Amino acid sequence: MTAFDPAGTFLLEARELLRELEAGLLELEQRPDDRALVDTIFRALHTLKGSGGMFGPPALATFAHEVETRFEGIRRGSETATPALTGLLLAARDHLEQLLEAPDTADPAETERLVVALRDTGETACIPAAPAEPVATEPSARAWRIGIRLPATALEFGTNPLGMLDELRALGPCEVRARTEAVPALGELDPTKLYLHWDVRLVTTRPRAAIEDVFIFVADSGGIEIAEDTAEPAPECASVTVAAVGPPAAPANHDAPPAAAKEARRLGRREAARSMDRPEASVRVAASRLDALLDQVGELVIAQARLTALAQSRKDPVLTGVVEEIERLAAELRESTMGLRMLPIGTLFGRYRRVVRDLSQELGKAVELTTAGEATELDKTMIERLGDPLVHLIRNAVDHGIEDAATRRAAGKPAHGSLHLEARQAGAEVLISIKDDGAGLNRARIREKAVARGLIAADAVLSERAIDQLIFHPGLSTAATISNISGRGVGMDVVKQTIEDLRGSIEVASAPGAGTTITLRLPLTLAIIDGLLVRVGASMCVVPLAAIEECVELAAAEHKGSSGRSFLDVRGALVPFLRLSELFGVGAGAREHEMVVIVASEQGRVGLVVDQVVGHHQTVIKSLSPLHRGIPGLGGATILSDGQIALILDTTGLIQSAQDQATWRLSA
Amino acid sequence: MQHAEKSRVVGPGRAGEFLTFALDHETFAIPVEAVREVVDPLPTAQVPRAPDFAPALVNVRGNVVALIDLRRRLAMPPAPADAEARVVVSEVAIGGEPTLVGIQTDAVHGVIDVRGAVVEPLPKLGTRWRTEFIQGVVRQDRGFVIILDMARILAPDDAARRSTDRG
Repeated sequence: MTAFDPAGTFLLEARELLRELEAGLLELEQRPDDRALVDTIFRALHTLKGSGGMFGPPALATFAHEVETRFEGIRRGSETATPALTGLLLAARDHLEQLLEAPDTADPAETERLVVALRDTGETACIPAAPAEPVATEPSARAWRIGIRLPATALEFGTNPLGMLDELRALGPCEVRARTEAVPALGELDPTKLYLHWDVRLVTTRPRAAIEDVFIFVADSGGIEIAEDTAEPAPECASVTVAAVGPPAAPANHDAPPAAAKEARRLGRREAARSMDRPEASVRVAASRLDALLDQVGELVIAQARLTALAQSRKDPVLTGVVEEIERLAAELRESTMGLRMLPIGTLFGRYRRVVRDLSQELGKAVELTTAGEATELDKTMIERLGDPLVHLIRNAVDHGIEDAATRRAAGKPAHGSLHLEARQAGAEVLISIKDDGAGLNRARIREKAVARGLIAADAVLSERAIDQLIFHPGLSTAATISNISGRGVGMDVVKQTIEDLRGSIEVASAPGAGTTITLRLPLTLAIIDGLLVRVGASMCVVPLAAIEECVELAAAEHKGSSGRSFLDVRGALVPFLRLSELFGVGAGAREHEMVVIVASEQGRVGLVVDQVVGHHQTVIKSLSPLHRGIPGLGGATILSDGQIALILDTTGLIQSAQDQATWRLSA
Repeated sequence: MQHAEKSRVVGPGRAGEFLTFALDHETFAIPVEAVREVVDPLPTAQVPRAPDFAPALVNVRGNVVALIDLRRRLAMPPAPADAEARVVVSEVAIGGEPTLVGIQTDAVHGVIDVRGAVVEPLPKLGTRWRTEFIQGVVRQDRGFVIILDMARILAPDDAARRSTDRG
């Protein structure tokens, strides 16, 4: 059991709210008139203020209040969300983040500056004391019946009914009647329990959502009934008699006149529509628990495979039936467990709107970011680790790819650049592409630099693709000036490394003058690998299928002469090869029917000689202990259906280390 | 439950109960609280380019576990095949990371309680082992019991150095 940790929960929640806030404000910049959006942002702010007041640093709640107050203007319609204002609100959001994450390092002067800016609306910015005086543009006042039936334990959870009533009063004139029927005799009264209920009749110009917000922290919202009062809104609160408030809200709706019933239905529909917008109810679970679950399911799948093998040898139809059933269930269980770890990539894309916005302001380039495929799902770990590489690629595209407005106009392109971020699933892979309509890679310059740095020979013949790949070489940056945005040429190699660590690959396509597209190919999940099971001596290995190009037989002529050279003639092309048996130190066995698994690598095609190709194998990856983790060429291990352990090869690392050891040479 | 066990810090612990086992006619001991189980020798999968004291992997109830050859670490000759041989599955903090390992032994004797017994430091002279691998020596009726410091024996620095030495 995990202990309840309100501060930790608050932190997680607050981070999420800040993300929501950022996404919302960026959207608002595009669509300043979207009322639903305004409400969403307000809700996030309000929740942040409320829960921050309870669990967060005091400065956070105070500052959040200032932000909320200013935003209230937009919400009431007295102020429009101009780019300047959303800019200010975004800056305020960042400050909130700092107050949350590192309250000690937050600069009080900055707080002061932002508060002054937030308060400066050109009018008095506080919430009007008397909301009963409606502004001309506002909807007319409506009357609401609100029944508050909190659970008896509400006080123990920190609910403050008086505060709620005060908040309701702030919305407009209201009549509060306490229901005392449930109060027990003094002898039985438990002072920590809540026995009172309230019926409230409220007249307000504010929408229903404003009333709902009052009860935002009520855990069991079922006890709160909010219904529009069918009676005409009373002009004066004082004239409403207590008797009129008497009946609880819900029954009142049942005998309501048809017009009101229609209104109630309309409200109901609106409720339904809104609940569809909201994300499904969710449960927060520590990632480590999901990992443990996946581990256990992986073990179950392995045990089930052994059971299947056992059942086949028994030839008992009843047993076989049960085993097939278990096999199906285990497969489904694995599928759903994997599904638990999948998150839509949109959670990642949201962050980049801000990056692009800030960058385009900083560089004075107008850049429009469009995204597609936000719903594409990817393993959680993958999403976490993709964050930084994608930021780097986006920065690069804006900084180096997209030209300034003058150059673009001269080239006959629209003055503002466009950047397109797209994710889509293709088979067992997810493709993420970053496409800009900038100048494209300057291949002549890249080449020049690579020659100057001694990375390639001056007369080397390189394909365009090979030149493009040079941008991932450590230490090569073609930015004419070093900016603080794209860094100093460290980065692209790190990006490539990160993607490869995730068992993915990175592709570049570029057309001079038309732009560059960088595509990341990633496996759907890190936990399962599709591979080819091979035997080397007594050892079993899994070669990742993604790396494999083809399998050929090692011709007799080939291995006879192989002592001197290690090249293979595959349809006229020379392919260097590497004997895995030498790597494993199993020595030369019976060299008959050896197979060569040809894998794609940076250096071109490379053959791996194995004793036997067993077949296609999908498997759960087990990570290696610290004792074996650093061994080049090994990516992990897995357990086969007979309980034997197979090593998962990391072909990139394997070829790299073989090259480093110069035990064999590559063709020029 | 498994979670709780994983997060347990395995260190020298209190001088309490120890599991004793034989290696090359000597008796060694490790804290019993770190020991998960004792199993018969398992089929191994050799790991190429691995440190010589961790040459293979074994499958312990669905877990891929590194098999530890202490003889290599303690400068002893390779073990003869023996029906008494057992693998002690134990948790060791390697570079602070709780890791399950399988320790190859010639035979497992049992559990001793050294509370109240005098744990003496290993004399600097007259031993063939690196002193940092040994926590101390306890006198028992059958002779000496050498208490091993598994965390030091499997420390990552040594592991890394070993593997590069070989490469």
